[in-house]
Amino acid sequence: MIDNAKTQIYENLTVGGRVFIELMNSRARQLAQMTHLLSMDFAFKNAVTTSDHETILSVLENLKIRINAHMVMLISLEHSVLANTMHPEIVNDTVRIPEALAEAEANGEASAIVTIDGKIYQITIVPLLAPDPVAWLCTGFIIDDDLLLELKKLILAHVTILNIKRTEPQSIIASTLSKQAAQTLLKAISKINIEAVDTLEVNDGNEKYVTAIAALQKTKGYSIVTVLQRSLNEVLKPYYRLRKILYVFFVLTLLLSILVSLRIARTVTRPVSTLVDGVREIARGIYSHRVQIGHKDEIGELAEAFNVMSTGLEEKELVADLLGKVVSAPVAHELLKKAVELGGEEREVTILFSDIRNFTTISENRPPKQILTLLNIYITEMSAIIERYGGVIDKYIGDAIMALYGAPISNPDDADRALNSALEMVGALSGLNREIEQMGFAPIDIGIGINTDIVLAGNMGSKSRLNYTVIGDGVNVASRLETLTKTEGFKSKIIVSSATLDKSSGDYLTRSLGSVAIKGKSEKITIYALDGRKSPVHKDLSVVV
Amino acid sequence: MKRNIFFIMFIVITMSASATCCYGASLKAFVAGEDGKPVEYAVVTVTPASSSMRDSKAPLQAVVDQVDKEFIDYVTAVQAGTTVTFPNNDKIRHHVYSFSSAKNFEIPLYPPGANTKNKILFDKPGVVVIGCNIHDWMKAYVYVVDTPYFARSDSHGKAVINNLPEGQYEAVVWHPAMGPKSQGQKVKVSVTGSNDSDVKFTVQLTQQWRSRRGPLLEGGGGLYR
Repeated sequence: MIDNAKTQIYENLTVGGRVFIELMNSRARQLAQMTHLLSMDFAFKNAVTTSDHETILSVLENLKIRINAHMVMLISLEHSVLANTMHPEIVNDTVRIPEALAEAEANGEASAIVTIDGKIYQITIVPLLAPDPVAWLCTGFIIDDDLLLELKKLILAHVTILNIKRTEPQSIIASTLSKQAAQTLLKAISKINIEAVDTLEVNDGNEKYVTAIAALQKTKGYSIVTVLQRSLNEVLKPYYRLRKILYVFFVLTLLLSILVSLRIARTVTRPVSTLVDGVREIARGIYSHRVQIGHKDEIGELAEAFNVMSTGLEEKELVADLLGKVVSAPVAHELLKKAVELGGEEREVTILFSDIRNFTTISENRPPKQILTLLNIYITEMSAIIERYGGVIDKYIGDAIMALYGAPISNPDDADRALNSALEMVGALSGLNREIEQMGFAPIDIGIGINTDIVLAGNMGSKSRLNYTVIGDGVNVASRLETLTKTEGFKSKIIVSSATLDKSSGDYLTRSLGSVAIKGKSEKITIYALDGRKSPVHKDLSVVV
Repeated sequence: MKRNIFFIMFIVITMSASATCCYGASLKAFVAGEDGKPVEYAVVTVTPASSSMRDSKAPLQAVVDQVDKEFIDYVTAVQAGTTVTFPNNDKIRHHVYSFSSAKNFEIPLYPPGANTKNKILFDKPGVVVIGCNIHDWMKAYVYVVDTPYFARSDSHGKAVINNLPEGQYEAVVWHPAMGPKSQGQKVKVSVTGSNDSDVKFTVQLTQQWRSRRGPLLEGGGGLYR
């Protein structure tokens, strides 16, 4: 980058050098024209012919003012200075600019850059024609810092004019540089062979200058040289500024992208993870979970939909829970699973009926509240057993319990489940009775009837209010069997139909009680007393579906 | 036309002057440059050794005309004591001047036509450079000599001086652009009877500085006449 800049500066300086020379030449032409015009002044010519030094001098002063020159002198054709505004007192001085005058004599006019009294002038010499030449008119314009500063604006480079005459101490004639920088330059220039080198680099501590040397006056071996310089820093300034801008731009972009990422995180990622958490909560069954997003975009809609969904789930759960209390859990499940509609299906169901014997006697002279407490204790205990075996409580009829095995969900061992439930219910009585006796009641006894048959299972009632239940002869049979347990001769708390026993594993201690006629049934059915199990209950049976 | 009339008038005057003294010899001078080419506008002067022979035949007259913003002629040789008229044959005014020490004069801006003070007496020998203040390029020379015997070279470089009485003479040449090398060339001429003499001068011509000519309009500057 820096080498590139240097090359560019060298090129610019080379061009600048040419421009500088051209500007100086153009200025010389301009000055020559002005001087020509002056020389044509008739009164001036007239005054010159008077040979009166004072008059001529005053005319020269006047001309000097006219063209803003710094010096005007009149030189005789014999090369003696007739009058000089720089040295008004001297008459017939010798000419100190012989080369320029010789050139004027050869070409009719001359422009040159000369040093006079340590200062550098751009001079023009033209003949004074009256109408033949009578004298030479010479005008001079000083080349100083002010002029160079003007030129600097045009060539965009520092300009320094140096006197490097071998015979004289080298010096700075004029410069746009600071004094210190100019001295550094002078030192650097004095070390090199000016004829051989045309570019170099000068470093004055603060600034690094790329330098090009252009000859201003080639005569007499480069005694006066012009040096053009450009500060490397100045040239690189736009580049550094651009770099700075790019850095700022980069940081701004970075910040912006961070902000955008944060915003995306807030608007997308976080809500999504919130939703994911919500879904997990729902999966865990916590339907009360709601998500708060607070957005009005698609994610907000999704969150709203999620909340609607969880509300729906919660309501359904509530209904299911409530239903579970009113109807048994599997029934509730079945009801919730599909659209609730009236009608049913035929299926094989094992029906269990249980009843407390002589409950009316037990509850006699007892306050209803205590009776209800008793019933609740009893039914809670029994229901738990039934449900543990996958039985479904169909209904409570006072102290009676009707339970179903095989509706609404069938298991291949429904009969076994019913039989084992019954045995356990009877077994639970002794413990239950201790509690009941503490309450001041007489111990209770129960009877259980079990039958298996194909019945109609489904929702019965009206559209607004319905029950899931089973209907059929098999239900009546079970109820009748329960009633038969009251028969003294049978000596059994549990009576099972052969239909149930046939469906069971048979791993039970039973006694045949013969065939009984059931009301409403044309055929007699064979019944058995269930006394116990041959082997301990199978593990699987106690698993609630 | 006017120019020609004046030119003829000028010739007639000079011829009649020569005709009055119809004796003597002629001096035929040839003036050439260093390159051998003929030089026009050189004045060859023949000065008799005795000063009595230099007397003029007064009154002497000459004309330097101004036509098309140029002096006609470029070089006019006159004997000291000649009155030179500077007529103005342009439509515009001219401002004739000279700062020469032989005759420093000025005829400030004057219009064309007669009745103008445009006559100048040239009484001192020497070169008088004449200019026009308002037309820088206009330049003419009046060469004032101290002898009645002189002639100006034509385009062939020839200058003929007639009616030279017998006697000893010194012939010199002058030209406006003559360089220092040719200054002071003197040729002794001895006239006997009617024998003509031939003289050859070689002059070194130097560059002369002259202001640029103003525009010539309408094919030859008719605008100014």
